[in-house]
Parts: sequence; structure tokens; C-alpha cells
Amino acid sequence: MGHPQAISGRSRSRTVRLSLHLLALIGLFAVLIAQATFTGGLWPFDLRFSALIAAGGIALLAIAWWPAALAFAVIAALVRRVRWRLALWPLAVLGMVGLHAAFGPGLGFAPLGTLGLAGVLRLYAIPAALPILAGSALREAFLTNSAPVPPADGAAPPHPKRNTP
Amino acid sequence: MTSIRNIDRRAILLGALAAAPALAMPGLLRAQDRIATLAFFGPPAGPSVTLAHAVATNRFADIADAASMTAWRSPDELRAGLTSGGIALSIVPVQAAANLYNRGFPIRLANVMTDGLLYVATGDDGINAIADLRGHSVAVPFRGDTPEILFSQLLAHNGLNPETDLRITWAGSPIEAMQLLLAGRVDAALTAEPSTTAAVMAGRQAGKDIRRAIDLQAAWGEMAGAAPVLPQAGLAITQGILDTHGDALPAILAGIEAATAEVLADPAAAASDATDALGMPAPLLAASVPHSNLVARPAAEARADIERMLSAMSGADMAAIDGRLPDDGFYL
Repeated sequence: MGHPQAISGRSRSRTVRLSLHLLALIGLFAVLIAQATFTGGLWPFDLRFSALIAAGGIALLAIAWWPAALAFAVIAALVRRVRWRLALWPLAVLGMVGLHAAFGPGLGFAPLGTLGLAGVLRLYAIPAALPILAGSALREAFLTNSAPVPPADGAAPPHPKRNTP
Repeated sequence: MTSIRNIDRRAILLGALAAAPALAMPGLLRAQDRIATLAFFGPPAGPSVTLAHAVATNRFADIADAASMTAWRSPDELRAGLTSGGIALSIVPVQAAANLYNRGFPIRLANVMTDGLLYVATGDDGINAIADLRGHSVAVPFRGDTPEILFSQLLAHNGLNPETDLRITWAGSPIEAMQLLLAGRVDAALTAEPSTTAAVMAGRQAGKDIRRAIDLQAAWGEMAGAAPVLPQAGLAITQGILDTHGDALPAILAGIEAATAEVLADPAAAASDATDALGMPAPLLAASVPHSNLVARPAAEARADIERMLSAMSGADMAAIDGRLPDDGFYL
């Protein structure tokens, strides 16, 4: 059992990390909507329609590739270090490109030749990031025993024994 | 008392001046006989963009104090509005207008506003013509309605039996047909604009190359040996408004013609004008305009095309339009 201050610090650290995940999620959705607008030529701009088209695209990809998405989420939840989880992203995108090349046309998707390399990377960049982000957030919420956040003035965190009477 | 002999030229001149306003009265009365509110109605589809744009750009300011455009959501809503008198000016499927006219409802067709907006959409590279649908699954909405009847005739013309040569999945609406196509549950879908455009847009975002593989207007023209046009919908007017404001009809048609040219020249601006009235997103409407074959043809000019379409789709007994083609009185 930790000292109440240390526990409070851990809780604060977890809150910060989850907030960062939320920010990342918002950022990814913003990019997704921008991508849908520009690549789809959705003009004049209508935020709700762009968001609808973007969400529809994600839903169609999720229906087709949900086992892969689930695998990315589980792996991300099991990986301890944040930088390794980040490194999963490009690997997941490449994995999706491979899956698309092998099974995509059979599932009704356009062949790689039609989409082009840039097109297929753009197609899977954010859909591959979302399950990794979800797995990472799950780890931060339920599995991580985070270190406490240092106090704002830069002083060392209080040592439990030192403060024990 | 003044004797008639005392009337000189000055009196006659004064009398004529005094009578001038009275002589001009019919004209003045006509000028005052403006329409309080010119209320247009239409489906949430391409041709209504034209009307909404015409209203937004005050195309009818010379004949009406105000103008409005409201979208009806279903043929039932249209029928109820027409019979109750709540709808007097509406874009109507031509077949529905002909059927109502032949059954004695006082309605007439003023113009044709689309030459057809039906397509077969697919992501399959192997489907490029009606005959290519053999062995494929196709989602078909509008069961028993104009598009389905035309589609059935095209299948028959190409030697395809819908029960044995392809698998038809009935859809409740074009949107549902589009969803079946996007989900990969069918190979192709018979859709109308703007649903086809929605399918293309949604497919692009999901890495699916959905395209308008078969233009039903072109297929129809090829089958009928005529121009590739399907005059699907036009502006219908009830007799009530013709009786009270019939003299305003040329101005209404001229306004629609000018608005049509503007919509085709700048679909994005027109879509912005129409988005609230139609309750549909402006980007979707703008992208669908180039594929909606919008026109503003007087009904009398389009009569041959209309009769060709009605004859073919109503079958030998023409039961769908009460057994006969509409007579001269239908076409304004």
C-alpha cells in the first residue's frame, strides 16, 4: 500500500495519460474528417456530412477487418512501454496493407493497383491507429502501475517512509 | 343643367383624361392580382434543387409576394397534400401525375425537370452493361414503381430472367440498396440520385471503388431506339391554381428555366441554397447535380419521350395509368 500522496500522484498521472489519449483520439478524428473532406471533394464544407462519411468509412473497414483491429488493440494493451506501442502503428499499417493485398478485393475493396500505395497508406493510417490507441488507453486505465507525477515546483516526490511518524 | 349642345372640345378632352384610369383598370387589377405565397413542393432529390435555388434567388419576385420550397418525404405525403389541396405546385413522378390525371384528378404537367437519374452502381469491374448482371446479386428498391419496372424491362430485353439469371434483393429505399452494396452483401444496386452519389462518396472513404457502371437512361435509349432520356419527374399544377393564377405560368416556367441553367453552371452554390429546404447535405446535392440530368423542358415538347416511357413501363394494359395514355389536356 502506498502513501496517500503517492496514490494521489499515481492517480493524477493516470488522468494525464488518459487525457493525452483522449486528445490523440480527437486529433485522429479531426484528421480523418479532413481527409474525408479533401479526398472525397465534399464541398461546400458541411462538418456533419464530412463526419458522417468519415465514420461510415471507418465502420465499413471495421466490419471487414475487425479481427485484425481486435488483435492490434490486444497487443497494444499488453505492451508495457509507450514508445513500443507507438512503434506498433506503422507495423499495423503495413500489416493492413498486406491483408488488403491478400484479401481486400475478395471482400469488395478496390485492388492495391487501383488505390495506389499512397492511397492505401492513407486509407489505413488512422483506422490502424484507433485500435492501438484504444488498447493503450485500456492499459493506462486498468493495467499500468504508473509512477507518480513530480510536484509542480520540481521538488522530489515525498518518500512514504520519510513521512511516516 | 348643361345641355349636350354645350359640350365643347375641352370638355371632351377632360372627359377622356378622366376616363383614362378607368380604361386602364383591367391592367391595374392584373398587377394587383399577385400570388401571396408561391408554394412549391418536391422530392428530396436533384430537380428540387432547381426549385429551391429559384426560390432562393427570387426568381418569382415579379409574380409573387413570397415563394417557398418544401420537400415531401414520401409519395403518400404527396398524394395527401394534392388531395387535401395543401400542395398545388409540385415536382411529381410523371407516371404518378399521368395516373392521377387519367383517374379524373384535376392535375396537369407543366414541364419535365429531369431526363432521368437512375443508375446501377457497383464496385465490380466486370459489370458494365445490363447483360453483365447475369449471375450477380443486385439490390433493387422501388418495388413495383417506375425504376423497378424499367429495370425489369431492360433485363427482359437483354434476355435475363430476374428469377433465374440473377439474384435480386429487394430494398426498402435507395439508401438501403446503397448500404447493402457498401456492406458487400450484393454485387450491384439499382439506385437513384443522390443515393448513387452517396454510395460513391462512402465507398471512396472505405477503399471501395463504387461507380455508376450502367446508365439506365442510356440503356433505355438503346432499347427503345430513341434518345437516352427518361422524363421521370416534372412540375405538376393543380387546376385550382391554374384557375386563379394561370396567367403566371409562363413566368414560373421561365424562372425555372433560368434557375436550371444556374444550377448546372454552379452546383455548389445551388446546393447551398437547397440544403435546408431538402434537408440534405450540400456536398451530396452538389456532387449529384451533374448526374441528375436536370432540364426544364415544357411538357408539350417532351410529350413523345413521356409517352414512350409510359407505354413501355405501364405494360400492355397500361393499368398503372388507368389503361390509356393521358390526352392533350394533360400537357400544358
